[in-house]
Amino acid sequence: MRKFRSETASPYNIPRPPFRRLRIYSIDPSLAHSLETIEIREARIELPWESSPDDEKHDGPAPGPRGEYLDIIDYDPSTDAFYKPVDLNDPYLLAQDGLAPSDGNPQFHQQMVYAVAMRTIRNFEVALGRRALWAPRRWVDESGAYREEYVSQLRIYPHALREANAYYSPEKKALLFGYFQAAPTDVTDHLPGGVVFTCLSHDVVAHETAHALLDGMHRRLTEPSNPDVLAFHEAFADVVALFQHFSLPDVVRHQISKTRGDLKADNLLAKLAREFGRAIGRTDALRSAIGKTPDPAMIDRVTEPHERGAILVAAVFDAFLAIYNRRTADLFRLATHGSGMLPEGAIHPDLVSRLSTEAAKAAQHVLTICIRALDYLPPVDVTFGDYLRALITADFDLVPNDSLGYRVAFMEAFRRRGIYPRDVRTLSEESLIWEGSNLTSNIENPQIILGSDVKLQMQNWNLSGLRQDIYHKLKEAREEAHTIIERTRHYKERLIKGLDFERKFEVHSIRPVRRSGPDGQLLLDMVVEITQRTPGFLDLPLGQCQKDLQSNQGPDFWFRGGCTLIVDLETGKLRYCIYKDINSERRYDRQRAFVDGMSAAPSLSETYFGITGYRERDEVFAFVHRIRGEENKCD
Amino acid sequence: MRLKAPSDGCVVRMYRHGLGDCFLLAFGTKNKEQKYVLIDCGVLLGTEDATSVMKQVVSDIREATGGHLDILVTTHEHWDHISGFMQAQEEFNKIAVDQVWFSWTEDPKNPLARELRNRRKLALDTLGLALKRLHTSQSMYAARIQGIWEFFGTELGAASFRTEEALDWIKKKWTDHRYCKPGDEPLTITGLPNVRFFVLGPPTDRKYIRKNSPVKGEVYLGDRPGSELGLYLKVLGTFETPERRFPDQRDEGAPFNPAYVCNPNEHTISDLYERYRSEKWRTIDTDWLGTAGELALQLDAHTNNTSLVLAIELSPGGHVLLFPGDAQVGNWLSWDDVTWSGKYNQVTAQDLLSRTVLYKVGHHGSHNSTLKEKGLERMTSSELAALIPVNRKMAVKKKWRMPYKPLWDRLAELTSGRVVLSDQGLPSANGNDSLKEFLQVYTETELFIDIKIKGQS
Repeated sequence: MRKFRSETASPYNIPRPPFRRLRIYSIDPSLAHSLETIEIREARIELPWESSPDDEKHDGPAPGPRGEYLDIIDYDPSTDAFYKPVDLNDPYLLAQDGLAPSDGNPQFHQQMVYAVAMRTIRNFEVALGRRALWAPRRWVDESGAYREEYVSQLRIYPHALREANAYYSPEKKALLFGYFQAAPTDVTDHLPGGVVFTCLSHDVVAHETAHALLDGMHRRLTEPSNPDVLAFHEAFADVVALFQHFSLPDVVRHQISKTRGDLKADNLLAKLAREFGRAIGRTDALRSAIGKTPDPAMIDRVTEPHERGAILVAAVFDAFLAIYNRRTADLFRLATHGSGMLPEGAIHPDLVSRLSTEAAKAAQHVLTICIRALDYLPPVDVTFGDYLRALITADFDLVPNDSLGYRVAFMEAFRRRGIYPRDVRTLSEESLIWEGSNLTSNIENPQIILGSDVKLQMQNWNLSGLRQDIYHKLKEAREEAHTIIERTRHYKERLIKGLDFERKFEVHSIRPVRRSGPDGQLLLDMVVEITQRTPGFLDLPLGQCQKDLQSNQGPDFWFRGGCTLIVDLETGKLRYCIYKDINSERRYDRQRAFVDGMSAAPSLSETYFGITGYRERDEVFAFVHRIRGEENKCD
Repeated sequence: MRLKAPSDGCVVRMYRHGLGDCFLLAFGTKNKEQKYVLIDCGVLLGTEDATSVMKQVVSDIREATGGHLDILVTTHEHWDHISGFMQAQEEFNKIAVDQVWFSWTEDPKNPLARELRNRRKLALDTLGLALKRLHTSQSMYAARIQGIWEFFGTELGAASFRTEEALDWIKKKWTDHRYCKPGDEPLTITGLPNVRFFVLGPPTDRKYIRKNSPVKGEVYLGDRPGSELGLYLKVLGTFETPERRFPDQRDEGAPFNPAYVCNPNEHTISDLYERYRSEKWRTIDTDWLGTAGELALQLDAHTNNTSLVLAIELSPGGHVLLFPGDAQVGNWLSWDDVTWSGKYNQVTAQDLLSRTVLYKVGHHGSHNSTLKEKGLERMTSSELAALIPVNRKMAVKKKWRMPYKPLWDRLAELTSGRVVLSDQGLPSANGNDSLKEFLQVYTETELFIDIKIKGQS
């Protein structure tokens, strides 16, 4: 471990810098061939300045890089080679903001992956106001017992695969990136025969990291119980990558000056959205969703996760555009003296600056809203409609007065894409916000349900503190909550919907969430997720499943239900109860139909591999990425 | 007992041996002679008692035809269509065959055919190597891929592909071969002038054989030696040889300058190795082989698409029997482009489909082997009946979706219930009056199901 800070330091301590700057490719290098984009090819981004994972007193990530959140091991199994790990603390590198971007130097690849992943994590943490945890490792040991283990670092393999693919592995808590030779026909985009590294694409790295972060919050979202679940995972990861891209200031500035401030569909930023994923040869789903007139019927036709997810991404993107346009309306009025027509040629650099700032702000806000909404989702069986309600509710909690019309923008955008929550009659703010805010009953004192010092633990899970401690304390809190809820069941049954307390249940997660109080002060709520499951069979209705449990065979699928409770920590009042009823026959039938593939139009891969086998199939994301639904379809 | 068809008509015998195709057609001639055509004879690898079942089937073929087949048709090189020629060779030795029909893709003299076969061989080899390595990781995914692999009739590690062996055996045994191309003059059997065999596929345009819209960045059947598949195979291949690459050795498969590769002897990197190896559950030694699944699928689709497709016209302008092998989208879509010359220039695929009264459902009723709009929906005859050679137990065991339920339902609609499954028979017959008429031409035994199709004079 290189120690470059002299022990005999100066009389006063120079404080540790808050940020480390590193250079990355802002645009996939294999795509950026034209002179047009050469100025924005590279960027320098800032990430938190970490301590050494082995010893807090020492600086910076260990070679790898290996830090507190990430462990990058550059092993290439196809050539059985370990590539030399980069030491980001090398003074030469510190002086230059890291290695210069280079395709041929694997150490730069390690640096890039580290930088983009860390930045994504940071965005998450700031949006949620608490430190990010990875999903714990779960497995069944020899005695058949469920085991769980804290995972400190996400493993990243920058050169893991030999294909046009990259994915997050929920089993291995790892990101795997592939590399491949560009197909000779792709002369326009890629250098024919040249090697394309997916780890060098900012969007791909951010996308995969977002999958991992989402998995850390909502474990059940890797189990497809309806066509929206996997699509949501993909869409969310795309949204994070897209809007994070907009936060690269030079890229935004460059684009705004080129398009004279008009961020509508056919410009580089949206083109970026459309080309996003092309590096890994995904279907042009985003291209068909963004940029064309929204087709509200599309959501009923499309089931493949990427295509379906693209609709959600397009809706969020539309909302962003509306917000940006609203925010910049006055700037345009000023610049055009009310005429609405900008003068010919390049626009004034001051205007570019201001517009860029607005675009970046709008992007940041949208991203934050999208991330915060994750705390307001039901614990299982998430649908796009649920997410819309979560978005509206989360934003309402933080900004009660929607003077800038953000929520209207979201509602409008989702409506135009045909995304409606079930059981909601009108698309108005009041009907979209989750129920519970008008519940009169109180859970008098949160300590009754949820343990003695849960309030302290919630306050402790903020942007500092040891993650491992947080994890363990929360685990205890969950166990304690379970015991307490079991003891006082009858009391909860009136408030906690969606569960059948005659059966076993699990306190799936407890976490803090911030909101604005009426005086603008920041308050703390607590989110508790309680879930349970019942076996599901393709040929049995819900009522019979429990009775006819064919124990030797195992169920065809697990039908899950439960609720997300949002509790005011000060008063103990139950603010929202977001539930999926474990006893709902209709929901059960819907899942049954989905699992049986009635609603899915399978490709050849699904003929052989089948979505029903999701439980046994390893690597659900690798698989989703590999299904290219287009080619073998018959209709 | 001899299989006898009415003069001007035919009988289609579907054998009920398991998940596989074996169809014996008998045509009656004016002078009371019978002409026999056998289309495919095989069952899926892993079927219980496959050999004895196939022997039984071929014995019956011999009995039914009196030991003489006019035509033998092999649609494509998959085990479930061809295994009988390995498993029941003794019985086949007692059967004379006048002529064997193959698709043009089997023609050793056709350069495109040769190229396709070579590429397929390359892909198969690659897949084999990948599977061998995958097996060490015991992934469940590997098991599924193996299921596809088994369509080539080979156990892992076997030296050659038994489907290839089967085809070679056929070619050697019966030496009058015909390689059929779509658009060729319709074939007939001597003594049976009115029955015409129209060849609809496989297409000779390679784009139809592969797929319709290539997806960027796909790993498969690269056109040039440096392409992904070649590289993949090379990398896999070098893995097999004991000598490894060392940092100073050049390796074409390596993406970086060897100077960047850690020398395993350097002690400073030892903790890196330790960290990687110590958490076994996070290692990625075989994940890169996951693409084998994709390869397997594409290989399967490719082979299916080279199926010989026959539309058998029972009389000029009359009823048609459609036997498409396991043709998939690409193959079906190419039929519209097929034209015939001379006195047949009025015949089109659409026309043939509209006159189809018997459709042998492709690929055991899976979703991809029956084109909807330009296929199934064009079969407008009110007398349409469908045969699905499938074994649902086997399909469930392999976790395959065969038959695909919505397809089955649609078939039932179009045929008013005349859908025959080789394992179940005629499920919609229970108490269904509308099938009374059909039941008169339907005969069921344990070994086969016969459908009689009367002439149209």
